[in-house]
Amino acid sequence: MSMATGTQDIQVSIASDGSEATLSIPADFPRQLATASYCQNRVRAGGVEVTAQVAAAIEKLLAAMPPQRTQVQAVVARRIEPKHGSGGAIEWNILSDAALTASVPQPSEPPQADKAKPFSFYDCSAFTVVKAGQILGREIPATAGEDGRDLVGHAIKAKPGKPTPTKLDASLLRDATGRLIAQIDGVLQRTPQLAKIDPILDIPGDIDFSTGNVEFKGDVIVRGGVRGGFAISAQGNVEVHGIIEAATIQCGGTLVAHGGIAGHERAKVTVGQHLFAKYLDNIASEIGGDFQVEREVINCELIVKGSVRMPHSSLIGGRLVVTGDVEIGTIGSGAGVITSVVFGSVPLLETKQRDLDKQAADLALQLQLLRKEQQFLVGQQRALSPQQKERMTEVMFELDQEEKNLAKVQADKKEIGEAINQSRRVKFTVQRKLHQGARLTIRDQQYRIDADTAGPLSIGLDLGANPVFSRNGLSLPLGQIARLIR
Amino acid sequence: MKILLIDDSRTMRNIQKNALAELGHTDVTEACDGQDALSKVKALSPDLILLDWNMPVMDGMTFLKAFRTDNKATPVIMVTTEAEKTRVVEAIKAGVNNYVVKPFTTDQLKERINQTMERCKAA
Repeated sequence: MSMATGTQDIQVSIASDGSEATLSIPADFPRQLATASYCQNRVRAGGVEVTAQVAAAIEKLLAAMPPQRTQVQAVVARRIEPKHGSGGAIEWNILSDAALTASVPQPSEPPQADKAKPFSFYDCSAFTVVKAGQILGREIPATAGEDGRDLVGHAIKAKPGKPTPTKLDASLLRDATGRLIAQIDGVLQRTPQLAKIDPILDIPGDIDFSTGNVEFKGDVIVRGGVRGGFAISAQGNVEVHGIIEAATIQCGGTLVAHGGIAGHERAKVTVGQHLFAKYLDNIASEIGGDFQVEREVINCELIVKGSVRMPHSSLIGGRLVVTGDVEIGTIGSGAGVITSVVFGSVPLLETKQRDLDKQAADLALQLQLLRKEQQFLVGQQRALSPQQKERMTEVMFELDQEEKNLAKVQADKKEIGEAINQSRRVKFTVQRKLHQGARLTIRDQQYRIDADTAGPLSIGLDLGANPVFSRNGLSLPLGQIARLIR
Repeated sequence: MKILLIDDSRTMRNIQKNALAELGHTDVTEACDGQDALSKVKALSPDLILLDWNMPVMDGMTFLKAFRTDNKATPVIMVTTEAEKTRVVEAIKAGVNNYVVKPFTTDQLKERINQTMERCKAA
């Protein structure tokens, strides 16, 4: 059967932007001719590719065609837009290995607060300190995208995503799965262009609430100062350009305090190696190596296991305990503030020696008691009960053990004593003045300086281990300028 | 060498363990009375037993008699305050290989242990 003359044919119209094609069946088009294949041919003739989706859309249109003669139309074909690729990125998460190897990325969670420790703003660190081997994140690769398809059936190319612009330096390794692994201990530094781990923590300003306390394995440089109440704990060296206030500094290496330390009687400084400072004011410090200062040391409690070099500076007030040589400009002041220097001290060994003395005394007492008990039991020998016989065996055993322990303690004491004698040095030079009232402790004897004594002079021990002072090549007993007070 | 130490006093067990350690014997199992020892001895199969006489629950002599019904070979040293001749004879008849009277020194105990082991080897 064919169409009557003048009958409109099935039309395919394409949207002006090429996004879709509409099939229209006129009202007077013979329904029996409106078959799926005919419609498909019309669509093809209109320049549109007949895909399975287009065929299905045609079928749907025909199925929904009403029996009465009305125009029907429907969109039978749509352009498939390309899905452009996504750019690469780095997802920074200091997560556990398990979380990063899960197929679904886990949201990063802040570390669980230690419920036993009260929250402190001082502990809120601004730095991401990482350890070698730590997984820091994951690189998400760029994707290629998915091409689209136009109505004619031509591919519409998708734009591939660009790789992440962030470069990694040698301190960060990207493994085969994209994980980023720290290669060294340090602080993570990130910019859009570069990610790296710096083995030195370089703080551009002060240590204050903007940085929080600092705890770091390597070296720390503070371009500003350290505000009161804050703490630095570093296994390496520490260099502070500004003033250190009433802070706590623990430094495994050398501490350089360019701006000095104004401790307000609350600063506590522990240095594994050397301390170099502009000045010290009211601090307590233990220094494993040498100590040098540019200006004054006022009212400080210092233990120095190395030498002290402050030939142009004053030591005023406080107490200095030193193992090695000492060179000081001035000790004490005209105001009479008590300034103490303890020479030739080896605090660690001396503490050990005191402990051993106590142990020996305790063991001696224990032995005395056991011997008394043994004497009593021996005296009762013939009339000993079974329990007393057992006790006798116990006493003999304990005596044997305690005698061995005492012998060991005495051997240790002897060894420590020899080590102390070897370590003790008394070589003390005052360049300018030794003020009246200054206290010098040499080998457990304390001397008080009788009158202001001008330098340069040296104090040491003569061959008989007696304290002497030397000036202009002449050595005289220390008693000539100082009185023994204990 | 596996050793079973039977004594109700922990201190005495420690003293004997110490002596054994000085002789190089560290594989030592402890029991606090005869009954405890009987429950352990079969599984343990010790090479030497150090046995106290006077213990609660089951004394050393009762343990020894029960033990010797099945085992004649394992050497047993009685370590006890019982020093009377009749008691010593009784213990030997029951199957004790050697005897140490409390109080004793560590050296005395060590000597008896060595003596017992040498005799058993020779036998």
